[in-house]
Amino acid sequence: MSNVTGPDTAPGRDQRFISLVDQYQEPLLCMCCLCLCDKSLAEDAVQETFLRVYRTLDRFRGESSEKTWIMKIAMHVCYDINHTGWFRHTNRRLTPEMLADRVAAAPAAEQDDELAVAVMKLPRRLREVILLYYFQEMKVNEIADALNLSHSSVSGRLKRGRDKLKKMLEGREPDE
Amino acid sequence: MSNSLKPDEFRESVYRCFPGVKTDPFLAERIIASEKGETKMKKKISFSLAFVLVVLLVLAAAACAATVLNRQVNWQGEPVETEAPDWPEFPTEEEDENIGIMNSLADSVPDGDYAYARYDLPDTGYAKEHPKQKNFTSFEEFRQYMADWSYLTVPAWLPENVKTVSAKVILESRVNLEKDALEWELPENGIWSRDVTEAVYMPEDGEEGENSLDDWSTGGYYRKIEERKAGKDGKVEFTHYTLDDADAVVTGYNLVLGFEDRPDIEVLSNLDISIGESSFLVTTDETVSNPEVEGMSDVLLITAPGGDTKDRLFLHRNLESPVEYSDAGGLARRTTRESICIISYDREPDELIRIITGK
Repeated sequence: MSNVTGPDTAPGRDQRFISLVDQYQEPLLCMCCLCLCDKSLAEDAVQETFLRVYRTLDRFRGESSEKTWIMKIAMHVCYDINHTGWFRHTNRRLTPEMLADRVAAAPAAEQDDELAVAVMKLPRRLREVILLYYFQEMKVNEIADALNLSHSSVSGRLKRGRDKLKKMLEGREPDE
Repeated sequence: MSNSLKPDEFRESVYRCFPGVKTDPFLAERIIASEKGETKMKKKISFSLAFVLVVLLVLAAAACAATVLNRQVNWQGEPVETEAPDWPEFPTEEEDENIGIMNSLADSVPDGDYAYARYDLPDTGYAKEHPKQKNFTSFEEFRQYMADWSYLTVPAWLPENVKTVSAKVILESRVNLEKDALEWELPENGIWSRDVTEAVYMPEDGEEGENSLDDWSTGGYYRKIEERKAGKDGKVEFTHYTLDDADAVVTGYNLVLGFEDRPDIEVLSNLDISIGESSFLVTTDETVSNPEVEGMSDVLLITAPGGDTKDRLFLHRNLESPVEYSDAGGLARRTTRESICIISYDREPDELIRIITGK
């Protein structure tokens, strides 16, 4: 995997950016869908992520892989979306009764899609590492770098996330 | 399951769940053009206003379960086609319980210090983060504090007979964040260090088999704060943040005014980090209008008949100069807009506008 290692001329910089968008837009979009559980928000998140990538492209020195760098930005963007003042405000007004109606109104997922649905139901921290590990195929140390976590924290979250998924998908307690 | 969770399967599952999701073939070109000032970025729904949609959904549901949410409008009150968010499962009682705990933790932090406390709810599929807040019960004290943060609009006028004032100022973004990972022993008395922000409880000998080795390495397990405070044995891994409160940035506030027997007016303001266009969900019996409000770039008033449903006034204000700061991850943030929302049951629209303009 190639890394951006220094300042470029403007055309070269733009070309490099276009290449990054071509390479990572699709996997990023899918990951943001699962992170945010909403298509429109995910599309916004991808746009915001690449906007930040473009603005900071010159400062990227290749200390991590491009993929790790971009995923790190994407996680920050998703975090931002979930933690604006509006979001906190709305959260305080959500009640289980209201949400039950909303969830019930949503179209039922196909059986084959239970995996993605189960991932969306994971706690955010577990969801993040599961997505990066399985969906983005990043290594544990890369995830640790992207999320500012220790190796053991990432491993722990992976294990717990996997156990939870197993429990949800198989309808039984995870193996001890 | 460890051997059956394949990336390809994962990806296909995602595509089936989000059948309409598609990449933008011109995204790179649009961003480049936007950054060079050639075009204006467009989006279907901004981040913050997507959340507003949820507010409206919830308010409408509370007012009348049978209400049909039949249209979305833009700032001009014109219909737009967007999709309402799909919500995953949400927590129930446990969240409220933990929010109380987190507020207690935040309250234990002396004024002037800042804590960012985080936790996972173990079984509800939801995580909550609690930033340090500045709380005020006096409008004058609130206004005085906000005088240092002129990019947020503070009410210029309050209706008469305000009985209670509850203001929360959000300090969630900071610069000069220092972070280092430490490993400490949990204090026997269970006292929390005030600047602990994240903790992972890791039993040394395993606990009922939960800490057994798996494919990767030793697992770490989150525990609810009560359990950690109870002083369970074992290593506790903390992520330790040192925050320079002098550089803390106010990013919003929530002001609730109470009259007689109930809170009636709520004023929210926050730095708007979103870009692009917005939309609002409006019920069949609501009307929309665009009154002029001095100093505001966008104004949308949504009124509902009777006193059982809240009226809502949404405002955008372009800041005189951009507000720039670095977030916790060191990424530069820049915003040029403030979002304001005023919600009320009983007040006339003119009163809601006067809260902002003073006139």
